[in-house]
Amino acid sequence: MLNKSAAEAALTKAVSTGGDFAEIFYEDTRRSRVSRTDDRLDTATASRHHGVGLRVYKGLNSVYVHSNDSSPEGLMKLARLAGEAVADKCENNLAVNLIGSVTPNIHPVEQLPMDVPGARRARLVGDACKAAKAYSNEIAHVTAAQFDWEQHVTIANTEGMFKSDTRVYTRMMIQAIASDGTVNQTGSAGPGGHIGFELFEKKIDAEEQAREAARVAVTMLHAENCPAGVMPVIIDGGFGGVIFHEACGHSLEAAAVAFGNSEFCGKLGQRIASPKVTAYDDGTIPNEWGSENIDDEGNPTTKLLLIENGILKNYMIDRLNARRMNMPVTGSGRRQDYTFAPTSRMRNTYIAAGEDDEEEIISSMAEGLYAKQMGGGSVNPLTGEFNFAVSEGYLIKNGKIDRPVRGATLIGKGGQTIMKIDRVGKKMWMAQGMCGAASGSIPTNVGQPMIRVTDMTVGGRK
Amino acid sequence: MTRQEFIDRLFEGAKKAGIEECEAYFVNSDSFDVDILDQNINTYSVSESGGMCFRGIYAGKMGYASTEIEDEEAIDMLINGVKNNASILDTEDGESIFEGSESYPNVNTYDEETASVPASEKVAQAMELERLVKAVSDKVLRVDGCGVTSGASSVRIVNSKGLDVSHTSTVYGAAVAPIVSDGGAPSFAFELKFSHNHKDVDIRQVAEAAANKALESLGAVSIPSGTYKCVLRNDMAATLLGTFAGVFSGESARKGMSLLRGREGEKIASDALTLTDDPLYEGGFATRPFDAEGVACFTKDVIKDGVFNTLLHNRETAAALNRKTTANAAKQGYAGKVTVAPTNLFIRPSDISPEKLLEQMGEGVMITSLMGMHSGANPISGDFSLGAKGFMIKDGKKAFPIEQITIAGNFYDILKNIRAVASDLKFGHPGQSSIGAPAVYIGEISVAGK
Repeated sequence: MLNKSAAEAALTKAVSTGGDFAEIFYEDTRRSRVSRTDDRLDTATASRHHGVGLRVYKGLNSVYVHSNDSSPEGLMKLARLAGEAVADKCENNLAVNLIGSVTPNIHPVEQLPMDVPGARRARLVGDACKAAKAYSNEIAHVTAAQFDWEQHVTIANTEGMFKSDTRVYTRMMIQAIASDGTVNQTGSAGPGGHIGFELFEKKIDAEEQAREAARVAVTMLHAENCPAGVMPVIIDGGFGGVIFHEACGHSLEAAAVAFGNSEFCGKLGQRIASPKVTAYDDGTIPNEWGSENIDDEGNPTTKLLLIENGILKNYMIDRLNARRMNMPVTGSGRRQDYTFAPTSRMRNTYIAAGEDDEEEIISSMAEGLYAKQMGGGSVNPLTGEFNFAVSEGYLIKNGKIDRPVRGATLIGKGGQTIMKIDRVGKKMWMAQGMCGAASGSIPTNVGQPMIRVTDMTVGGRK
Repeated sequence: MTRQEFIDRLFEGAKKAGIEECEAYFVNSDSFDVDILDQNINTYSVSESGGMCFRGIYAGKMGYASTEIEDEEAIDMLINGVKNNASILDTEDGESIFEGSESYPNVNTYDEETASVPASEKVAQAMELERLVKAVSDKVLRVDGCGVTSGASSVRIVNSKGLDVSHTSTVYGAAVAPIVSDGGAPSFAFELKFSHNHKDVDIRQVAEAAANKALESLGAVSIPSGTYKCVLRNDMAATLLGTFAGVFSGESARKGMSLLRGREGEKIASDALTLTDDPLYEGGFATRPFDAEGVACFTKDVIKDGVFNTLLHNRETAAALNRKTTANAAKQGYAGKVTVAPTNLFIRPSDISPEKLLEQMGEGVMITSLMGMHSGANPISGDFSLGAKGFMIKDGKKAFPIEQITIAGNFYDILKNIRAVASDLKFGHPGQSSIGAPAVYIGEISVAGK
C-alpha cells in the first residue's frame, strides 16, 4: 500500500524546486500464465510486479522517475531525483493535503483469477488444444495460453488526489498451425476482458474459439497467394476495426496531435471521414478489455465521440498534452505499468453500427478482396501511412465469395482511406488486442461492423 | 534483508519445502533518458529497477516464480509459486539446473566512464543533437523525438549446484527523428547509435544520417504493381532477418513452428549467405560471457555458405532434439521461462561495396523502410507482406524515392534467392540492436503499388 503521509511528504519535496505539479503512481500487480503446446503444458509462471513512478511538471517539461522501492525513503529518493531535474532558483513551499476517495467499480469480478487452482487453468488450455487438433488432421500444432493479471494502483497528486483502483484482466490466446509438411499456415484467437475467470464460464467458449483458429489455419493452407494491386476491399467486423485503430485512432491521440504530428491537427469540426462513419473511444463498457474505472492519471474514464457522421468531434487527451493543447483531459491517460509515464491512448475504439445490409455490401461488389479476419498493423501518425495484415481473406467475383487468398497486406494513408468508406454494416462487434506505443503495451479493443473501402492498395504475391 | 540473506533463506526454505535443486536469476538496471523538443527538455526519465526469478525442480519438474520485491513475503510466494506451477506441468524431460562451465570467455561490455557521465552533460548533448539535425537543412521542420539514453544492467545467476556468475554492461545511445518538408507532404526518418562506450556515439553522424535519410525520401511516389529486382538496404536486411530469427530457434523447431527441424547439413540458402551468431562480438549489443542457464557462450555459424549448420539451442531444446546446447538460453527481462534467442546474429559481409551491389542489380527497387513487421510477417510460415519505402534504381543508381508500396515474399525463399551481399555490415535497428546485416540483393520480389 502507498502510505498517505509518505506520499504527501514526497509530493511536497518533488515540487519544492519549482515544479508546478507532481503525481505518484503506485502499483502492485500479480500475474499468472499457463501455456500448452500440443500435449505438453510447458509453461506455468507466477510473478509479482511492484513499484512506484513519480512525475513532476514544470510548464510543459515533464520529468519521470521510477523504482521498485516504494518505502517512504524510496519515495523521498525519487522526489529528490525528480526535483533536481527540474531545479531552478525558485523555491516552492506547497503544502500537499491528500484527500482519499473510493473509486466506483463498473467492472464486477466474480472469480479472482489468482485464486483459481492451477489444475483448472491446465484443463482449460488442454481442452482448447484438443478441440483445435480435432478440427482437422491437417492441424499440426496448437498452442493455447491462458493468462491474467490483477493490478492494484494508487494515484496521488499535488491537487490532493488519492485514489485507488483494482483492475483484473483475464485472457486466452490460441494459435493453430495447419501444415502439409512444406507450408505452415496459422489461425489464432485471443478473447479476453476486464473481468475475472468467469470469462470462460459465462462469456466465451474456449473450445469454440480453438476450432475457429483451426478453421482459419486450414482455410489458409488451401488458399492461393493474394494478387497485388489496387482494388475495393470489404473488411469484416470485430478485429477488422484495427483499420480504424491504425488509420485514424493513433492520429487522434493527443500524443501526436499536441505536437503537430498528425494529419488531423486543427480539424475539429471539419469533415475528415465519409459521412457513413461515426466512431467512439469508450472506456465505460462494463468488463470490456479496454475499459477502465479511472485512467492511469486518476481521471474518470469516459465515452468519447471521436467522429460523428464524418465530422471530427474530439481528440483523446491526457493531462500533460491537455496543457499543451489548452483543452480538457478525456480520461485517456494510460500506461503499461509504473515504469512508463502515461500518455494519451485508446480504450475500446470502434466505428458505430451503420445502416447498410451486409449481404448487399458483398453482392454489390463486382471484384475485390473480402478481409474476413485481420491481423495487427501499425501507423505513422505524421503521414497517416498505415499497414495491416489480412489473416483470412477471400477474393470476390461478381458479388460472390470466390476463393480464399493468403498473404495479403493492406496499406494506405488514414485520412484518404476513411474518406473512401462507402458502406457501413448494421452489426458492430469488438475484438481484443494489445496496443504498443510510447507508454507501453496496454489492452485495447478494436471494433466495427462490416465496412467497404472503394479502393485500397493490397500487397500480395501474385 | 541483504541480497545474500535473501538467497540463503530462499534456498534453505526451498530445500525444506521439497524443492530438489533451485536457481535464482537476478537482473538489476538503472537507466536515464532525456528527450528534447525546441531546445527544451520534453521528457526526462530516471529509473532504478530490478527483479528476480526463482526456479526449482519439484516432483521432477521445473516451476517458476518471480518478484520485484525481495522481502519475507516474497520468499513464501516464490517457494509456493514454484511448487504450484511445477505441479501442473506435463513435462518431466527437459529442464535442469546447470553446475557451470569449466571456464568463461572475457568480454568487454562495461565502461566505468560511460556509467558516470553526468545528467547535465547528457541533456546538453541531446540539445546539441537537435541543433545539429536542424542545421543540416532548412527543410528540417522539427523533431519527433531527439534524445540521449544511458544505462547499466547486471545479471547474476546463483544456484544450488554451486554456480554463481555475474555480468555487467553499460549502454549509451543517441537517437533523433527529424520531420522534413519542402512545402509538400512531410517526410520522416529515424537514426540512432548505441554502444557500450559513450565515446563511440558521434551525434554529428547521427544527426546527418537522420536528416539525409528524411530529405532523400521527399517527394516519393508509388510505382505500378509488378515483379521487381530488389536490394534491401543494410538496416532493412537486418530488420527482415530479426523478424524471422525465430526460425533458427531450437524451441520453435521443437514445437514444430520452424521448417528447419532436422535439416542440419542441408543446403537451405544461397552460397552467398553465411549467418553467424557471435556472443563474443566486440562491441555487440548482446555480447555476454554466459547465457541465461549459466552456460559459457561461444561463436557459431548458423548457415555456412548456404548450408544449414545448426539451430540455436538451450540445454532443454538441445536435449529434446538430441543436440548440444549452443548457449543461446535467453530470458526476456528477469521474469518468465528460459527460452532461446540469438545473441549478436548477423549476415557476414562480402567485399562488394553497396554501390557495386546496386550496379549489379541494374534496375529494380532498393528498400529503405519496412512497416508492419509484427503483423505482416508470419514467422511460422515465413510469409511476409510489408508496407515499404525506398528508391527506384535505374542503371545502378537511385532514380527517385518511392512509397505506398508493399513487398511480399517468403523468408525461406529469400534465403535461397540471395544473389549477393554487400560489405556494409550494420547493427542497431531499434528493438533489434543485436541483429546485423549488410545490404542484400535478394533477387526478384512481388511489389504492390498503384
